[in-house]
Amino acid sequence: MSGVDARETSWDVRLSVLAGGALGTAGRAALLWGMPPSAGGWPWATFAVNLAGAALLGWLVAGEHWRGERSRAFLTHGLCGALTTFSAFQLEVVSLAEAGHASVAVAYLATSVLLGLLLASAASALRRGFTGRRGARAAPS
Amino acid sequence: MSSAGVVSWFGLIVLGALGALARVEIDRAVSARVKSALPLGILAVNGSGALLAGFATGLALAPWLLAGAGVGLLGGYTTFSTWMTGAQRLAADGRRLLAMVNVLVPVFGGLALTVLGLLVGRGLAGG
Repeated sequence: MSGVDARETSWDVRLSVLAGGALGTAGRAALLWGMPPSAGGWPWATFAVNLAGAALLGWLVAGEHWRGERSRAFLTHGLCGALTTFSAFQLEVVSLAEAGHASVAVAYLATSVLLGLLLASAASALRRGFTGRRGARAAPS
Repeated sequence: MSSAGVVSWFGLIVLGALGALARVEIDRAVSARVKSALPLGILAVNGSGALLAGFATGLALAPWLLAGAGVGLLGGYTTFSTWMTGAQRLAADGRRLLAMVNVLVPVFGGLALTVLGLLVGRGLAGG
């Protein structure tokens, strides 16, 4: 989601992004520390944080009742944004391919993206179901 | 945990937080200047982050410096979750072609930029 609006430029919102970003980075670094990547192996830590973050963000952005800009910035731009990573994901794909594990690289790339989309969609649908809102898909008119 | 361990965790977390703030600022700046149905701000953030991550890795920096740049700063700067929900939202709005573009362009563009960064970094490190 781009669409950062004008209210998100104030300093309290920036501090919320910093705090959420710190928490997200800590979570990602802790998982990397606990599940260090092995040569030619599946990058489980990045895989896990990216999928968890996609599901959590799908859930969050589908909710229509935000408690305020600060908690929104903390959770979405901060926590989910920093918990997940694109640069390490791409680097892992390239490293796997370069080390001769092309099939692992392709499988990792494809499952990350497909499961990420699936989880974001499922979490979003689940949230809309809970809040009783009509899904965006149900509006052909 | 050793004191060096505490310092490096603290450093990672601070860098990740700064990366997250940089993402929000750059996303906002790009989205304000270029109007598009595609989330171009996040595309720019992830593309530039992939290039820089490749570059830092290619330079063969000291491990602590590479962790600070890659896991900390660029890890917090780039994002997977916002990319996924951006594509999901386009698809849910019925803009399937744009959703597909928003998935495939970052995948192939990101890989190309990562490789480019790696090659440039290695060239500088080796030359």
